[in-house]
Amino acid sequence: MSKKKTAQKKAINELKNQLFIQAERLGIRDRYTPVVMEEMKLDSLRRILTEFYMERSNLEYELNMLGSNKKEILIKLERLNAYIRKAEGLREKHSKKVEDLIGKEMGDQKRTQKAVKRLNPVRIRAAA
Amino acid sequence: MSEFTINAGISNTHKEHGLKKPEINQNPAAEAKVIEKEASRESSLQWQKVESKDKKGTDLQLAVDTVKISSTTVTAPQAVKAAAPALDLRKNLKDKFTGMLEKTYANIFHHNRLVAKVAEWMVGNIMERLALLGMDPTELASLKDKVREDLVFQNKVAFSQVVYDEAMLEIVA
Repeated sequence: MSKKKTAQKKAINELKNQLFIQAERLGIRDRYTPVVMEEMKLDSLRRILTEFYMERSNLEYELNMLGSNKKEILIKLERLNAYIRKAEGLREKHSKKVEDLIGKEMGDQKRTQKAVKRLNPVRIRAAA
Repeated sequence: MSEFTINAGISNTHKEHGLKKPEINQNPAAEAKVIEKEASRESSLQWQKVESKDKKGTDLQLAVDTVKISSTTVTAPQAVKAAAPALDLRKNLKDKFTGMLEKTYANIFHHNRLVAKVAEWMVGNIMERLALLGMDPTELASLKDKVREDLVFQNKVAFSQVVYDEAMLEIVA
């Protein structure tokens, strides 16, 4: 990773830390759980993807117009497609992560199902 | 020069503010003139000697110009308006301190500890001033709640923006 990108990431992390401190002082730190953070990231990825799709349709429209610089537009489209693929991969990754986090919070699902079976309302009613 | 023309010579400043013109002459004749001036000024009417119609003698008539600028006609409207600036001052001060409180109270939740501490001290002072100006404690509490709600919303928006930037950087980098 280049120096510029490292610096950008550092700045973003610093901003996040400051916002976390502010949230703590406001008494809303509990709202920013890992699940919520992942969901926010997923939402932003969806927003970015929407913007990319819109840009792609614009470029395709421009490509079909007369008098446009086809070479330049094709290069742009190629790059945009690469970004779209990357964004889609990240979206999948983060959606899986969200599911895992929710599953963790729910606990062991098999044990929960067994516990629910033991509390079968039919048997309770029959005993009564 | 007659006593009436002397009256006309009194400056407007002395008429409006009821100031006595410094007495220079100490002899009884001069004193009599000064007394005459005072009497005419208090009545707020000024008489002047004009030539009569038949041009044989002089006649007396009210000096319209001097009546307009007399103490009664000029100072009375000012006296009525005198209470208004005090009320305005109170209201202006209240508005100013309310604005200051809104700005300063937001800084209490600043990530920088020093800024937060200074803001705490300032909020204490401002609230004291507002209480002295007669602001209701419930009003103060509602003001603080409003600022806090705004900050919570701002924090949420800022977080979503930072996460968006982070995601964009992840894609483009």
